[in-house]
Amino acid sequence: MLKIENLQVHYDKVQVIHDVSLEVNEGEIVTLIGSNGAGKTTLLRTISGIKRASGGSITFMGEPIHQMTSHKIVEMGIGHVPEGRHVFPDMSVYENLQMGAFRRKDSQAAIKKDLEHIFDLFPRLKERSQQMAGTMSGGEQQMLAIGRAIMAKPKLFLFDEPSLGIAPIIVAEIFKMIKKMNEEGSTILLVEQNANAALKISDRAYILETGKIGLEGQSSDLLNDDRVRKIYLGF
Amino acid sequence: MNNNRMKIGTIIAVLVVLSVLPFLLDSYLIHILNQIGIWVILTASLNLMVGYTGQLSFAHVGLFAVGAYTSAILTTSAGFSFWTSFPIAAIVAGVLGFIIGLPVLRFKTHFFAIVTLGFGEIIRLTIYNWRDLTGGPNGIYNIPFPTNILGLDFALREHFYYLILISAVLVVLFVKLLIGSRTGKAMIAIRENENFALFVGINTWKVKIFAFTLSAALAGFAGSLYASYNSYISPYSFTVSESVSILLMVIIGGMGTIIGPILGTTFLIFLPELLRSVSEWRMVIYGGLLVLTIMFMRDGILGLIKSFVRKKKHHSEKNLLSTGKEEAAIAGSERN
Repeated sequence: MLKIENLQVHYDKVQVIHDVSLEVNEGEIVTLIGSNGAGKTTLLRTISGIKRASGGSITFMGEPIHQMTSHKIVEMGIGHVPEGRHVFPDMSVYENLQMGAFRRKDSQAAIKKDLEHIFDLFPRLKERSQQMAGTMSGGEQQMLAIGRAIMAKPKLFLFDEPSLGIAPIIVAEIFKMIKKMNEEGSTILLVEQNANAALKISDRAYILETGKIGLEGQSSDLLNDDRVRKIYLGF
Repeated sequence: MNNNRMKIGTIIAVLVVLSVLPFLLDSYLIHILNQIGIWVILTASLNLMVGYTGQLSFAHVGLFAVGAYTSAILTTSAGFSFWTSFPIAAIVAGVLGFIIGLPVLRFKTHFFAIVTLGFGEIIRLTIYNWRDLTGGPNGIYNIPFPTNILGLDFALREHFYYLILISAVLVVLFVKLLIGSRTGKAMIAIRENENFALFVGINTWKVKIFAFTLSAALAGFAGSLYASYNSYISPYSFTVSESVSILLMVIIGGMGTIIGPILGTTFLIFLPELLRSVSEWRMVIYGGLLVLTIMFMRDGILGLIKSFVRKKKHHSEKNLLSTGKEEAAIAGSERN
């Protein structure tokens, strides 16, 4: 579904992604693990067209997308949940979710139906549908951020560290939600520092080390790999 | 539902009162109301950029000047009637806004503010120095009033009043409709979080250039009215301090709302009339007001009124065991 080949990305003269190749097949959860500054966020931003690649190619559903603008890529069906719980703070929860459907050409009725679906998934968002998004807790904002991405009905979700700075109990809930979305047919590329949790819910994994793919394989194998355990799992 | 009906009722009542005012007030007060009306168009246009798209523009006085001079030159040297030059002024200002917007909108936040300040000054200095076309520092005299239509004689302030009133109402209504549209939602999203708007799939560049061009055209529209109403314009009417004044009107009234800038404009145009005796302190008072607004009432006059109404409502509801839900609903309806 998503195929990245020999990707190079620079910030001015500093190269942060070196020759990365990666693949996500339909129906999979693929996780990308790496420490701070490994280039995980940059890689996701390059996929969704916010950052330009300086070399290599990205194809999505058979079409090259590395030259496309970000709104075109959203239209193609890539939904990006950026790092740090991004919501529109002075819009209500309801309005935030509606913004998620910005690029959709479906009827109002279809969008309304999906809104109800989100409220079923996250009952807490329903309770707070008229509240300003900026006044909610971090965990609630992250749920809203995910709900907003679902509203766009993407074929592929990009999650950038959904567990960052969130209470452990909510993290568990969010991971369960990601797993559930996958079971309902969504394809997911998950970037995480919380390697343990990410490896447990994913099918395959890539380990990014200072801009290069260090290791790749089945998540269950990586969970038992000595090197991975030592560096990323800490036991 | 009931709330909506009340809103519409209030608006109609205000419009009725506004339309009979010329029969009730003296010529001096009508003159002030006319100034307010022209400035309401200008602040509505600025509010589109500052309040809704979140881009602090200082170029609007320049674009207002372009509208005023286009209209003045067309009606004096070129012999056009006001009714043809009125739309042309808006188009010229809009096109110039587009051209300025191309480089300027590459900048964000305070960099954007500084660059627009620069362009506003470039426009004023060009007008100042292009003597053959603009009359330089002498300005342009004897700009004709609009020719009579529908039995209205626009040489009379009381009659010009209706032209300004209708224009202002139409512009404000237009802004209101725009904000409710898809593009309006995209503008607000950019104000809220420009970077995140990209992730949502908003073509932020296109929305910003559209908003800037449109807002420039509306400023030009106001400029054209200004020129014909005062029948004299000079570069001294379009200085940086005017930029600050209109920005104050938007901020003090309550930016990002429809009514706020109207209140702010009315307040800040009436204020100097009331403060005639201490006119040299005008800018000091403005500055003080700005500081106070930003420190204590970030949503401006309108925000102050709303929180007062809400408190009162809350007080009476307390006895009826108000639920938290209604509170949230009121908070939800605060913007727009």
